Amino acid sequence: MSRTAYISSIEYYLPEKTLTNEQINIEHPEWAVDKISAKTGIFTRHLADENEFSSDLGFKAASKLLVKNKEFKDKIDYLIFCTQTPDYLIPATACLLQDMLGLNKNIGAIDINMGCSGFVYGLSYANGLICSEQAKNVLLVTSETYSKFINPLDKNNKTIFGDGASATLITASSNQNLKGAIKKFDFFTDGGEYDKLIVKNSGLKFRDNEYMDILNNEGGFIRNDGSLFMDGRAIFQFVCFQVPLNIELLLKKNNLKIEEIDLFIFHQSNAYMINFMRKICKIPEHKFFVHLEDYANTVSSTIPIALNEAIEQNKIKKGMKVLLTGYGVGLSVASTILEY
Amino acid sequence: MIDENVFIERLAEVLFETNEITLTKGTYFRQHDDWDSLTGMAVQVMIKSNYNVELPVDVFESLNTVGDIYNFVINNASNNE
Repeated sequence: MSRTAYISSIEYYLPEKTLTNEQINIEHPEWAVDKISAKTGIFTRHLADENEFSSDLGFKAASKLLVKNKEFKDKIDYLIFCTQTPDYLIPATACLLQDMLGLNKNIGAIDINMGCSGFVYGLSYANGLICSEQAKNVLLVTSETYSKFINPLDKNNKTIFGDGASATLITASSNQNLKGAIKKFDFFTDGGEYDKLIVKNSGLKFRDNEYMDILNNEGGFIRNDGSLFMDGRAIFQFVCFQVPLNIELLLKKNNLKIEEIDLFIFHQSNAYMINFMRKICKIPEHKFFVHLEDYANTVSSTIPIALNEAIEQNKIKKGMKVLLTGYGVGLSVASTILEY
Repeated sequence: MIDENVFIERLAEVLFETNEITLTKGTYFRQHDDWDSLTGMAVQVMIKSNYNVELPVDVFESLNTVGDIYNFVINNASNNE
C-alpha cells in the first residue's frame, strides 16, 4: 500500500523582544499608529536579540514540538531547516540543529534557502522523502531573523517583518484517512524578478563593495545594498496576478473546485494585501484565515503559525480541505492542499 | 464601451474599506484617509486585470481625481468592455 505523508504536529517560537506600532511611530512620527494597524493588520512584531540567531529560534520551536511528541525524538530520520538567515553559509544550520536537539546521528539534515513560500516547499520535500520511502518521520523547521537585515531607516520593512520559527512533524502512514494528509503541489518561479526582494550583499558576489543609504529627494530611505530591499509594488503585482493562477492549477491537479476548499491559509504578508487577493480569488471571508496581529510577517513561519492557530481555534475539522499558499522572494509561489 | 458606473464601483471597492462613501468622477482620491501606496498598488492591479491597461507609476502620480483615472483607462484600453 502506498504511503501518505501527513502533518502530525506543529509548534512555533517567537523571540521575547517586541517592536510595537507605538515604538515605530516614535522613530517615524509620520507613520500614524492607527494607520499602521488598520492597513497591515499588525500591532506587534517579535525581533531576535543581538545574540539570538536562526538556529536558536529553530531550536526553541523544535524543542517545544519534541516535548509534546517525546516518542518521536529518536524516530526522526530527516531534518529540513528552511532559512534565508543561516548562522553560517557553511555549514548548513540543519547540521547544528541535529546536535543542539540531540537527534540521532544517522539522519539526513539539510538547509533549504527559500523565504515566504519556504514552508510549502519544505512540505513538498518531506512529502517526497516519505512517499519515496527514504524517510518516515521528517522534522521541518522554518526560522528567520530578517530583522538583522533591515536598515534602521527602513520604516516599510520594519513595519511588516517579524522574526520567528516553526517546527512541524511530518510522518508516514499507510492509512489514507489520517488528518493533515498532504496532497499535490503546484509551484511557480520567476527568477527574472530576483532583485525585487533581495539583500544584495548577502553572499559572495558583492562582498567587497561599500554600501551607503540611498535616499529620495525628501530624505526618505530607498535602499542600502547591505540591507533587505523589497520593491513592494513589483511584489504586489506579481502576487496578485500569479497566486490566483497557481491556485487554479493546484485545484486542477487535485481534481477539486474552489468551492470544495474549506479554509484558505495564505502566507500572512500583510492584511491589506491578502484581503485584496481574497477578493481577486473570490474566496468568501469566512473561509479565509488571517492571523498576524501579534506576529507580523515571519517569512516562512507565517503559514505554520496560522495553521497551528486555526487548529487551536477549532476552525479545522475532520474531513476539511485546507489550501496553503506561500509566495514572495525568488520570486516564487508554492501551494498545496491538506486534508483533515 | 467601458461602463462608467462599473468602473467607479470597482475603483470604490479597491479604494475604500467601507461602502458608505460615494465616489464620483470629481472625487480627489488622494485626499481620502484610506489612500496610501498600498491602495495605489491595488488600483494598478484592478485596472490591469479588468481593462488590460498598464498605469505607470509616474503617470499615476499626475492623476488626482477618479475622472483622471477613468479617462486614462478609456484612452489606453485597446478593446473596451
